[in-house]
Amino acid sequence: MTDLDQAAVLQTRVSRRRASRFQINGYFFFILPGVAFVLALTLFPALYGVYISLTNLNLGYVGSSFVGLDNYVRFFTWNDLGLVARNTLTFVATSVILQVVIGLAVAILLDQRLIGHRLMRSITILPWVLPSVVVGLVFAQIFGGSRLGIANYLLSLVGIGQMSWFADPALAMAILIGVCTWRGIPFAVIVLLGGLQTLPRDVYEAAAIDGATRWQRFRYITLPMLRPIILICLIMGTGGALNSLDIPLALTGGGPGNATELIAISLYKQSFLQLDISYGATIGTVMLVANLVLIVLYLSVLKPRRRAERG
Amino acid sequence: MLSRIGTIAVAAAFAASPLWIVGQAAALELNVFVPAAYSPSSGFIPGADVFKKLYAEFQKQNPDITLNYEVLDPGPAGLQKLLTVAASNGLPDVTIVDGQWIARLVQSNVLQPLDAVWPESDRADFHPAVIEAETIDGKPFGIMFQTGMRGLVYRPSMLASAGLTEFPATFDAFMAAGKTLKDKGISAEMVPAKANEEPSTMHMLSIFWGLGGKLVDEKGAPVFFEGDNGKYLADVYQMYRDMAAAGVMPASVTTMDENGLKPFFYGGETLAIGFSSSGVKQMWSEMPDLANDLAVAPYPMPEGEKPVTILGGFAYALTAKDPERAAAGWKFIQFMTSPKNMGEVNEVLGALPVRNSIWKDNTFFATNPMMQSYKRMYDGEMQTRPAVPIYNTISSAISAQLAGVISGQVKPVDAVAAARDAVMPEYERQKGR
Repeated sequence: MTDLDQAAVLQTRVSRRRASRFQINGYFFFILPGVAFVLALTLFPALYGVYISLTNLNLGYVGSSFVGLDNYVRFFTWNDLGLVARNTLTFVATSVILQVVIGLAVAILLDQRLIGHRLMRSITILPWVLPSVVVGLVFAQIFGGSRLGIANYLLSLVGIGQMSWFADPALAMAILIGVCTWRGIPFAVIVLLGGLQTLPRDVYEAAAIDGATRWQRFRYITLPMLRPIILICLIMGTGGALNSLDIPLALTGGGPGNATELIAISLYKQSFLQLDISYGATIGTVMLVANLVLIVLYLSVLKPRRRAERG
Repeated sequence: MLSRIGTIAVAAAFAASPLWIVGQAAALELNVFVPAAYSPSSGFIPGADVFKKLYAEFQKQNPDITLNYEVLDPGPAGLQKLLTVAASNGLPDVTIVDGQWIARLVQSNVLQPLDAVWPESDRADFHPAVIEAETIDGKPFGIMFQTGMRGLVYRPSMLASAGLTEFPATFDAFMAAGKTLKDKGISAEMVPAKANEEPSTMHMLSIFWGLGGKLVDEKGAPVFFEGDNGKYLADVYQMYRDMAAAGVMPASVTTMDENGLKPFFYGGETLAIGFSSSGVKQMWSEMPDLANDLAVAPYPMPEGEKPVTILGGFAYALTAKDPERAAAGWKFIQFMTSPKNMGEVNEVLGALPVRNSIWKDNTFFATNPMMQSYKRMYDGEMQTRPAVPIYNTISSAISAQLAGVISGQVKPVDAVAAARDAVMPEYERQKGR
């Protein structure tokens, strides 16, 4: 290659690099409105919330001033923090694990392509398309304590007496978890079914030829290969359950007393019933940190998968 | 020929359009914030119809004003919205406010005083307690157009079937009757006792005030736990506990708001429910046989005591500062609160009037036995909830203890102490502002 040729190649590379940089800049220009929109609607409110949590803004009073970390001290010394944290942990852990376990079982069934599997898939998704407030109100009617409540009516048909479903703290929490699990299963099914359908069939065939039982194939092939998807389901489900307000508020409202009060309900009560915006923002900031931890977890789960995909 | 007609029509339309534009420009757009229940958007169809009719009538009488209404949440979120729009200069010209919000809104200069425009002669038609509830520093800041009263709503036919001729007035007599009803599988009473729900506290307050209790002192400091006040509050808790322990009231009320009690009442599972007068018309429409079989009784009290009725309701208030807009706003308020229109709204919604003339002249309120029962309560002692910012915290703290007390896990005196412990740190925190 002559010097001239080398210069030409170099020139081409430089112009390609320039073009690529221009392309990046061009793309950036096009995505800028979207980025600005997202930042305005997420980052700004989040940072503003953090700022408010450092003030004593309460709509019952005129004006507000900077109070430093007072609201955080108040939160971490709050008498009911233990109860609310325990309720939230019980609710989140139980409903998410149930969603994933039942969701996986349903996904495996739907993956078998049995007769009517398309219809079953549509039916499975139904709870997910219902507005969650409607779900909460419908189940509140079902478990209404009077004899006009649907569950009590059904029990009366088999000779069982009337029950006050939401009066017992443990039963109220169990119903809350059950309803949220019911609502969350379709999401787990969709994600896990998608994951199951990407698994290579030849591995299963090879295992079958080697004499592996169904359980062994599930235990040693499906579960390990589906692990990242299951983790994503767990993390997203945890985020959803942690921030869940609509169903718990419509169903139990945190009652009886505050036996089923979750952190999101506390935030709502402080901000919108007590009008203590700063304290509500403090609870919101703590939840934001919890959500950020989940996002970090989510990204760290995805990372090895991306690397593996890149080869 | 046709094309010529078309051309003339288009030319005429163009020629007339400046007139139309001028007409539109001249009309003042009056912006009003109203809770859905008191607007043409009401879910209660007869209510929606009456507001549609009145708004149309106002428009007809005032072609120079175009009425725009926006729905406002009747709960604390409504107050929040008003304060937020005030901060961003987006206030409407007129708004309906809960009487409890008036003091806070006046503090933030959201409401305009009505003393200069509201004639004394018209004010004289209102119950003095109503005027007092809306007055700050001698100036009225709203015109209440209805009040809700809470009491025990029951079916006289059910009372008769239990062998009673009249609703027990004393707590002891009520407990005795309740035990008889219990043997028949019927609870005597259900009152809402859900934590952090304002109506839960309101039902308690009538008894607490009737016993002589005070929530706050003259300076607005919480005193509900001190001395006699603390004892009276513990007595109220004890009454709730006694009813639950004797099976006169089911413990499950701790999970219910007022609407949650209705199925028990409709299904004949309870003799009486703690309910607001505002929902009576809705009850009649949901269960027509109640139209002639519904009555209200004050809360049974210890011997020699009488409950105090809570006075509270929604009021029209002026927010416009600009003289032209304020004049238009006042026209609208005057129209909606005139005896005729206010009476019509009150009758359709079943909301209790606050004008003496409506109680006297409106056939429904003057003759309906249920309404007359409310009138007797209205003529008795009435009190408004203290319009101090700490009230929300007090109310929440008092109702939060009900579940523990009713289930027997918390003693009444401990519940009073717990309510105090929930309120005082917040009061101390806010006192220094």
